[in-house]
Amino acid sequence: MDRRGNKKSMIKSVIPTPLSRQNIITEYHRTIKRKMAWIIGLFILLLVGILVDIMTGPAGLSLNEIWQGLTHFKDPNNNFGVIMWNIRLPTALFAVMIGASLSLAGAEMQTILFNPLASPFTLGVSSAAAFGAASAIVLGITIPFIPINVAVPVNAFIMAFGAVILIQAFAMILRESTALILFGIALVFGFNALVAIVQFIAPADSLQQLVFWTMGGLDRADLSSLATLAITLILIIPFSMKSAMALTLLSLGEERASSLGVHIQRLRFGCLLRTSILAAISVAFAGTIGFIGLVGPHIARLMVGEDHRFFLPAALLSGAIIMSFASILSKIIIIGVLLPIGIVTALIGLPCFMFFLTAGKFMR
Amino acid sequence: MKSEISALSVRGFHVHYGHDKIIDGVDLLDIQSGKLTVITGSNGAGKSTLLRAMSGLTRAKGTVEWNGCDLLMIGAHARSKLIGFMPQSITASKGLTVLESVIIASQTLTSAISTVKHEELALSTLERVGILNLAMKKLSSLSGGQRQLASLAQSLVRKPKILLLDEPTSALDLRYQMEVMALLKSVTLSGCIVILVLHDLILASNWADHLFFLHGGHIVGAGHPKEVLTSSLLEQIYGVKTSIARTAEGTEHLVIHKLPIDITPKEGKNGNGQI
Repeated sequence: MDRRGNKKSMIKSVIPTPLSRQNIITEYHRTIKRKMAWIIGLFILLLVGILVDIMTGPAGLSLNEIWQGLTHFKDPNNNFGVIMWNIRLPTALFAVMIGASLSLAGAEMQTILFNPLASPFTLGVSSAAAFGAASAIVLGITIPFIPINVAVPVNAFIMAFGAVILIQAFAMILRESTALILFGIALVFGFNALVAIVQFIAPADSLQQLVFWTMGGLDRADLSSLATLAITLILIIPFSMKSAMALTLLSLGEERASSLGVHIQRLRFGCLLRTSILAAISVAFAGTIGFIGLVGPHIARLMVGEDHRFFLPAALLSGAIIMSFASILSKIIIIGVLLPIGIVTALIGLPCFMFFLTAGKFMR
Repeated sequence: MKSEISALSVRGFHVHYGHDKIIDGVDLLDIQSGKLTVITGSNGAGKSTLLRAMSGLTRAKGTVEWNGCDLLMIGAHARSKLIGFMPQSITASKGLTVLESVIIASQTLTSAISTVKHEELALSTLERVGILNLAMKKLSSLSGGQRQLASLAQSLVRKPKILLLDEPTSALDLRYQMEVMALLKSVTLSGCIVILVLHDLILASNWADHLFFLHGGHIVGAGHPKEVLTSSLLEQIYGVKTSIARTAEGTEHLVIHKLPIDITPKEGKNGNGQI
């Protein structure tokens, strides 16, 4: 026993150790608190984002007007209430949920495929959804008895989910993450080519509609889409969090994780299923939105590291925040024009990404 | 420290990768706790595959009997609580610190003890492995040898009944090699069955209590290193001459002779005679 009452080391460390057990545990608890603070900070930033998003638009709303709108939601003569409840709030929440879904999907994909480039976009899920939408918009191929107003998202979902099933099947055959990424890239090229063929033969009006869809947008925010997204997130988040520990171990390598009791195939299947549902539903409702699924997890990783108990919530919040601010920017970059959100996410995603990658070198 | 001796036997082990027989009818009988057991052999002999298959990570035909049960027949999760496997390749997670990784390795074993207890266990293990000073370092910032020690701590914190280690000293300097071998000896003396794959025959001959020599998927020698690592076997397997030297203290050591150096120019792959 040494002076501090610690057990004597079996191995005498060659490097002098200035840290006592108490110092280390204090430092460890401090890092846990720092991670919690990041998550709380992100949550507050998200609330600010939602608030500013509601305030921003052709008819700018002040905080007082928002308050009036919130408290007089049953009054049809209250203009603020109508704008708030029918337009601004659904769009703001829609943006948040789309961002959260895509970022959570990207975070899990990056971990299970050991690839920082993995996201719904890079694995071909978004491209498949675009092809599904294209077949509905241009070719009129829809599921029988489906109302025409939901035909496009339903087609997009079916194709996106089909792509994921293909990826799953491939994953079960090859059991190798690099091959899976390559397969995803092949899907991107394949579906993009199919979309290009459809665009080539499309009449002018359908072509315009398709181009708008592929640019991504928040204009499809309505009660049914909000409810679908909310239910999906509420059902999926607990399963994601339940896998957090296993995903953390997976970041130590497949063999290491297996030896520590992680059932890799089961974990991979569960993750791909969750991410496919999240990605397919998001893309089906909001169109092709790149960068969020890629950037959100990277920002979260720089803030809280790879302990997935912190990383997954941070990734979810980061994605939601980026989408929320992208929604604000889409309304103010060109006054009076609502830019497609997909363009804005790509525009702000790149500098954001570069900033955090550079800042990450200096962040502890 | 007095501890109960447990024993493990591997019987009729076969591992195939497609049509290739990697392990072909291997028996490792009566491997006991208290004795360091080493598996050695030439490159591609199947050592790592054998160890992975014993831990259930690679599909195999055969049995791994311990305390009257076949460990390959129990569930993967239950097996991971009994067997600690330290792989040779170590992926460095970018965002995890050494301490975090060891705490999580402990937490996945049981949720029956408090977080504070897991933290204490992790710290004690890091101290035991001699890397307490690296506790708050990111795994990605460590050297290969330090990562090996962190990986060893992740295995040890779970207090396995059987510890399987694939080349645990390959990236360590001489001092740490000795210290890790001493640590593993103490682990096995405390009742854990410790089996390690080693390439280094000197280290194996100095530390192993029982040695299995694997070649071409078969066991070609088993027993005390002195009995197994004979000059004739080593020359036959490696084409290298060896002898036993006796020190002034009377201990015997394996001496590996240099290969004759051929300085005559040879036709290299590029045809210019350069090696």
